[in-house]
Amino acid sequence: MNTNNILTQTDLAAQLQRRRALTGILEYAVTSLELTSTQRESVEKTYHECGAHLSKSLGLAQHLGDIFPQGSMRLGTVIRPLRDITDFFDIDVVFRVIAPAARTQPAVFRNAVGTHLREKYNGAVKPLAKGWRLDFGVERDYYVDVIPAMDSARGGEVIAITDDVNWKDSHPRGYAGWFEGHAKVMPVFGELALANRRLNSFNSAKIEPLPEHTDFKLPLQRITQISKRHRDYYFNKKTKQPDLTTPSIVITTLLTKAYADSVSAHVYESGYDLLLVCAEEMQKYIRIEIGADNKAHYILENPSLPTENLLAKWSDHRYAQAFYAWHKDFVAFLLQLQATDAPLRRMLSEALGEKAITGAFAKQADSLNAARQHHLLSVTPAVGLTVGVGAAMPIYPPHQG
Amino acid sequence: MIHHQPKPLSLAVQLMHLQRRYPSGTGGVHRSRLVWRQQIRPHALAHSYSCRLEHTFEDYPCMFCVDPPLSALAEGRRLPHVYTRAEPICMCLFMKNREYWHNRMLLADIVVPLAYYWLANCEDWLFSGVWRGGGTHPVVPEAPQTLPVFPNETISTIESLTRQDVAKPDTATAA
Repeated sequence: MNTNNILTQTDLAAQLQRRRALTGILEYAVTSLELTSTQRESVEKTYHECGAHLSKSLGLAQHLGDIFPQGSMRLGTVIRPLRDITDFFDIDVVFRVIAPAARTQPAVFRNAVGTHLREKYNGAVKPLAKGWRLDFGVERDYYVDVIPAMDSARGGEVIAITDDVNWKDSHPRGYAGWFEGHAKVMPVFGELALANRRLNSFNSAKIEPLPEHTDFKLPLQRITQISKRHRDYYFNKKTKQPDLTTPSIVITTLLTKAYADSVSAHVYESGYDLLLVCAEEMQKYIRIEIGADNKAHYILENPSLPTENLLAKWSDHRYAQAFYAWHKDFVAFLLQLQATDAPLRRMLSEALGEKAITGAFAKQADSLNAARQHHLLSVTPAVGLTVGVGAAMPIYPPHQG
Repeated sequence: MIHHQPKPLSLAVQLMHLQRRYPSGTGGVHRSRLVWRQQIRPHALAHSYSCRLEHTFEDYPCMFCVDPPLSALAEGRRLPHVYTRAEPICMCLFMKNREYWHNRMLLADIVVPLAYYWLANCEDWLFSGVWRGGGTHPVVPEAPQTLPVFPNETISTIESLTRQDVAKPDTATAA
């Protein structure tokens, strides 16, 4: 093996360490942007109380009222929104009356739910297109959006939700089942063994990288959360076009499809690598058909309701253009993170939030210092500070007292 | 009884160890002064810093960060844990006390790894304003400090610097 080969392999190993460390920083950052367990308990208590109150007020027999989370709360992809007005979490819950929707006027039902919510929550109740928002102000930093629903004529778990005028089919449980089915397929991450063997040409000790990173605990959820957070940054901060924001369900569906096809196709070296592949591939799942009007029609079937096109709104092409512009920006952002001369913290702070990134790097710094206190810190020239007993270059720390 | 004075490590030996451990660095010894240059990337997500280590037989070693200029990155804030305010910044890696550095120690084992650690903490400080590297540091005069002459080693001080001794749990880090 000549020197050039050794250096090249060392560079590759250093790049791999960077991508794995990036994974760790993203994992730390996203974790800090989720609901805490206390907040989660508070949310659950709130919507269960709300469901019980609505069932009682509407005089429903037992088991005819059903309240359950949908969307990100159900999928495990909740992430603190990045917007100008508030950064309260948006939690969607469905209040479903188990009775056919066809016999009830949408507006009557929706208003009845609103009236009963006001009995309990007074001024916290605010109207939304899809139902009613419970806004408790700064007392709790989340909104619970209650979506009134009845049963669709399709049967099963398909529900009918209303915009006050019409009933519209929705299948949140079916969607969650579809998402969870793909999310539970875990990627196979290549061991650091290969990189370590390369580095062992310099160092026979076992090498563990800093930060004391973890891989994505729930890869598809993490990938979705990071993408949504960047989407928020892009539309609210960077381009200031919040009206053109690509909805979470579109991003989640595209990423899930990309994940489903990619997760088992390769052995990945880091969670970041899988994130990048899913981000790059996601736009492939948008079907574009040229209609008789010679215009592009964008199609993404709702996997739980194939007759629904999640991109119906893209008939106004500004939405499609906005998505593709965000997508390009997001992939470029992810690629730039790899570059060793990138202003990493600034880029991450800008896109994912300063507090989350400062916290993530503080955690890294703390783990580094803890390692030093325990005499586990050493230096491997190719990768920098490393943690692990028996590494070749222990630091003999100066001490005082 | 004749006390055998252990031989300090020569600058040439120091250089050989630096070259062996950090093959991408370069350096030389000229007129009893060792000058060693290397790039240091403290960890996988950190920037790379161009550093220069200077050591004469009589003085404590000095590790400078040559590029990028840290005082410019500090944007008007006073960098903590430094021995100089002027560029290039000399990192305060340990108290200038023979307990922490003596000339039987290897620059490659002590000073360079401490510079990795210092730079990791400095980069964190530049971003967060919090120095997490611990340690204490005396008030730094604005004028460059004159380094004290390195005291002669005796066998008793060498023996007091066994590995076990220096590996005591420390609360201090780079001074």
